[in-house]
Formats: sequence, C-alpha cells, structure tokens
Amino acid sequence: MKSKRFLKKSRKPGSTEMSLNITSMADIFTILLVFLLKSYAVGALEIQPSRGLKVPVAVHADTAESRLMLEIAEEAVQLDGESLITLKNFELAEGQGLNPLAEALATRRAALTEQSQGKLLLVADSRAPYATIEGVMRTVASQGFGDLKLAVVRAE
Amino acid sequence: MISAGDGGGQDFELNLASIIDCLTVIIAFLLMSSSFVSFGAMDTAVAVPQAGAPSTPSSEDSKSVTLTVKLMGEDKVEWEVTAGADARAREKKVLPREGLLAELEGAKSRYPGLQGVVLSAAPRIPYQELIQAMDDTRKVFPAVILGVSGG
Repeated sequence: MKSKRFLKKSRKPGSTEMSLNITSMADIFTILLVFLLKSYAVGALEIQPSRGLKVPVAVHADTAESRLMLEIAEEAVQLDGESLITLKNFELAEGQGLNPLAEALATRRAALTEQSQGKLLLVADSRAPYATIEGVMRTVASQGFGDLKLAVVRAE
Repeated sequence: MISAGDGGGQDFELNLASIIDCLTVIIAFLLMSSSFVSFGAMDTAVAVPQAGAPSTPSSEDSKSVTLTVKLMGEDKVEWEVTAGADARAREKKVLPREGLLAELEGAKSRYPGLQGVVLSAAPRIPYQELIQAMDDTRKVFPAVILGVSGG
C-alpha cells in the first residue's frame, strides 16, 4: 500500500508539478546515521600505517595514547615517518646494523618531554619474522624506551 | 517546517526536505571522518639479559618465579619455569601450541608468586603468531614481557 502511495504522483489535472514522498528516504538516512555514529570511534588511536603494511590482529587490546611511532614494514624501518633502515622482505641485509635507528632514537629521546620519555608505539607488519622484531626491540631497549605498546587491529 | 492544513484543520504535513539536508551533511561528514578499522595496543616491555647483572640475587629475587614461553614453530612451544635464588629450572618441557592456555591457567594456580610471563620466539616465527600467543597469555597473565637475546 505504502509503495503504491510512494509511486503515486499527486498531480492536479493539467499541471506538470509532482511531489515526491521522501519519508522512506528520511528513514534510510536515519538508519545510515545511526550506523555511522555507532562505528564512529571517538578517542581511538590514530595510526596511519604505510601502504601494504598488515597490522596484526588481537582480541585483548587496550586503547593507546599518541606517542613516538616506530614502524617495521616490508621494505623499511621508520621512526615517525622517517625512513631509517632499508629492509628486503622484512630482513636486514648481510652485515647491516641498526645504528641509524639507535642514533635517531637517542636524538628523539633528548627532544621528548618528561611525560613522553621512554614511551614508544611499535607498528610492525604481521609477516615480519621475530629475528627482525627482536633486533629492533633490543635497540629500542638499549636507548631507554622501556614503556612499549604494540599496535594491533582489534578483532570484534 | 510544519505546514498547517487549511483554516482550523488538525492535519499537517512535516516538511522533510530540510531534515534530509541536515542528515546528508552529517552522513557525509561521518563517512569522511570515521575509520572502520579499530586500532588498539598491547602493553609490554623488553627483557634483555644483563651482562653485568649481580650474581647474588636479593631476598626478593630469591622468592621470584619466572615463566618463559618460546614459540618454536610447527605448533610447538618451549615452556620453562625457573625459581629461587639460583633460578634453577622447576619445569622444562615442550608443549603443543593449542595447550598453552590450559598450561598457563595451571601454572597460575601452581605458582602463586608468578606475576608475568617472558615471551619469545624462534627467529623465523612471524610477528602475528607472537601477537596471538601474547593475546592468549594476557587472558591469564596481563603482564607479558618480550624476551630478546643479548645480541
């Protein structure tokens, strides 16, 4: 019945005017609005991973505040978007050290406020081998960053 | 907004056009600003073996119990519990990966002094597997420390 009413054009004889019943459109928009408001995460951690980086998935994750971000992607190790070390398929080249990372961390640490001292967020690709993660972690720990958070995608 | 009917009538028609305008603007804004991937974070720390660590532990250390879990690949997990002043091994075994959670729950009741777990992995283990193991471990022990070799 309702659909017939929707299609019906209330037109005066000889008139070209027509009125569209927009009640159903308002219903659709309201549902969309409710869905978007529900999925709108206020205060969630804002991370912009590099293109192609697959963040690991976990169920028991906490919220995290913004802090110095270290990223381990397929081709590079980046500190706050600055590429420091080149990787090949998540691995360091033969004889390649992590000195550029250690130096950058030391520089950044000196510039950090007292509240941000020693805090770091690690965003690593889920395919990265533990050998690479371990090397980076060792360097991070040696530079006095003891309060670590590992970024994950929350599984529903 | 509300257009009343003809003189004195009770019927009126709600003008939805302006409401739809508002909804369109709000929906456009929400679509642009919302992120459908929810990021979270897991707290951890790094346990690096200290070369110059004191050989005589304090009385507090002598009571401490340490559980080390290492992912070995092929769904195998190396399990080691050390305790006491000399950090001698109380338990050392290899478990199937599926049995880790049950074993952690058992360890919690067997060792009341156990506060956290040191988690590590073999060099070829992907990071996702480590995160999954950490996720399971955090159900029982919220404090999980990543173990790295001295290098």
